[in-house]
Amino acid sequence: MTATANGGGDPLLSVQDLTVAFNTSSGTVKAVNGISFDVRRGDVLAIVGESGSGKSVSSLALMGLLPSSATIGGQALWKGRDLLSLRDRDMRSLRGREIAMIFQDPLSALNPVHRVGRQVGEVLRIHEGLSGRAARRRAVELLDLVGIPQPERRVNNYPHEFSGGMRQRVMIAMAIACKPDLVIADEPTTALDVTVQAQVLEVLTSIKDEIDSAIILITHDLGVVAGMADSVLVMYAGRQVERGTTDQVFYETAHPYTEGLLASLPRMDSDGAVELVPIPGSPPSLQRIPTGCAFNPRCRYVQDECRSDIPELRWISSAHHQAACHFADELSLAGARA
Amino acid sequence: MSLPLLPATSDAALTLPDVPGFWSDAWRQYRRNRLAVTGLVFIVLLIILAIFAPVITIYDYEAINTDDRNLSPLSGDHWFGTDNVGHDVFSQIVYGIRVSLLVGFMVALFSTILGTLLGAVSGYFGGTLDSVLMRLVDMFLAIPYIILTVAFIGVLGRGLNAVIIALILTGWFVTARVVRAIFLQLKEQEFVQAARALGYSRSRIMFRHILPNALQPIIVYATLSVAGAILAEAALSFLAIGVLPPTPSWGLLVAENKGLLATLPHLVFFPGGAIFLTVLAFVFVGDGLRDALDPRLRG
Repeated sequence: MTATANGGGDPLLSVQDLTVAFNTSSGTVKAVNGISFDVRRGDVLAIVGESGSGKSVSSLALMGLLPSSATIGGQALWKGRDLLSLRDRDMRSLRGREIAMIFQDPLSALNPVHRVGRQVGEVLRIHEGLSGRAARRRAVELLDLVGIPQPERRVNNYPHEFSGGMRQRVMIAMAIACKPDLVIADEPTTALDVTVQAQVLEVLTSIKDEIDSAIILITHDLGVVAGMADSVLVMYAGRQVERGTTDQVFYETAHPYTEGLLASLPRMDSDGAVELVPIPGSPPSLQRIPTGCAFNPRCRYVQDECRSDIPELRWISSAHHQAACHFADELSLAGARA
Repeated sequence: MSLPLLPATSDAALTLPDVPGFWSDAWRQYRRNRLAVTGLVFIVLLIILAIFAPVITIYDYEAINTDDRNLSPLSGDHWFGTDNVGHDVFSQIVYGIRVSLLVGFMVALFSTILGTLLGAVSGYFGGTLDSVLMRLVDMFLAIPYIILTVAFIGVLGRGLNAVIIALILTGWFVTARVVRAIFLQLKEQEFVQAARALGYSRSRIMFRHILPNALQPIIVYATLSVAGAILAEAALSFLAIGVLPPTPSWGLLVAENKGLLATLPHLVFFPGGAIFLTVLAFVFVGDGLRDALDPRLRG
């Protein structure tokens, strides 16, 4: 698992110090504050955080899908080109072809008035210049690939005639139609029933191997992360607080926020004796981020230093593992219960 | 290249009923509305009459028969009677259908296209363009409709074509506003975001992805604007600023014969009734479409 996570080779996507700020009537809001990560072919990188931590905004910034009120800084090298400074038209030809995106709610992300086959085929007609007939044939194959039964019948259905899980499979089919190098999945299972979540993730994983792409998985669900991701980036209030391989983050947890997230995660194998521990308080408003470490008002290990100085990401003993906590080396945190 | 796929889910076990498509469902709903069906039948009848006008009518609508003046309805071949110079009123009314439907359909079609284009661009792009367009619409809507139309006719010159163009130019404001409002709402939907994430061009997103979702109110409003245009043309012609004689406009016929209302009421009654029934038919159809196309109103 760790082999692919940080294996050699140039990264497909290398994000350096990404910042996103929104100009609002009540001042500038920094939604993303200096995050960096690399994604290599075959990697699954999970970006984890609560609502408002900036994880979705980061991905939309990479795709160039933020409204013009957003100011984006930093660099995102994609095969040597900076995504953040690409012209509109170059960005458009990348989207859907090299980088594709899967959205949270598959009902609202599919166009209600078009048949599913047409929607899947349209991607191919636009990016690969397929004829209507060839696109349709590919659409049937793609629906089959993502595990939709009777695909040759189902292409003629409208989105509302599908169940939630089936709709998300359709979204996945659209996203992978052009065999993109990177799939960004923004909370792909959040809107689905628990029983369907695992199926959809399995489709996603097997598709990834099939087309040899990388995945950025944006989620707040650590269970999803554990099942799929090679490496993890934990975000809090727009900043990165911990990153490393999934094993490192789960079992050698180095940031109190990550510890809190893991402690609030229910476990199937516990006999009910282990209580869930919520993180006290709630995430800060991005307009009033606490001074010092953004997590300090909710942190049980808080010291004076945490209230005054913003902690830098620092290396933890093992390679690839970093955390932004003044006391990362000193604290002995409980990770996931192995 | 097949994958080790998942076991078929419960979805597969269900046999899929053939769900009726949107349009057949809408048609079933529409048929329940008697007024709407009556209106539609009436309009179809009008279209047939307009197409076959030369076959149906016996007399030329311009022909002057000094022998057969002032005849009341059902006088021999003159089913609707004649006027004070001997014009056959039936011929005038039947050829008048052509004028009214031409005005109604042309104005509705082109003002809807114009309004939809401008409203879509305004709503989708927003910003300065939106502000300028919408202030322009506000400004035009602040001027009484008839005055604005008369002003355009003043520039364009009189006649049927001038009337049609003037009514198109004054007919797109409300459509543009309605379409803009729908686009403002729909462009925030996730499927638009998804379409952008797939790298589709702006025009494709606007016209292939958003517009089909906005078609229902546009169709309804276009139908109602047929009625509005027919009424407006009749009014303009009545006021002698519309089409020019001898074009057989119903409004013109009412105007020419209004002095004879006491002695020969049928000369006003027939063209007036034709305007009334035609406008009513389009309004009924519009209402029927509104109910049939709006899923929320379906019982």
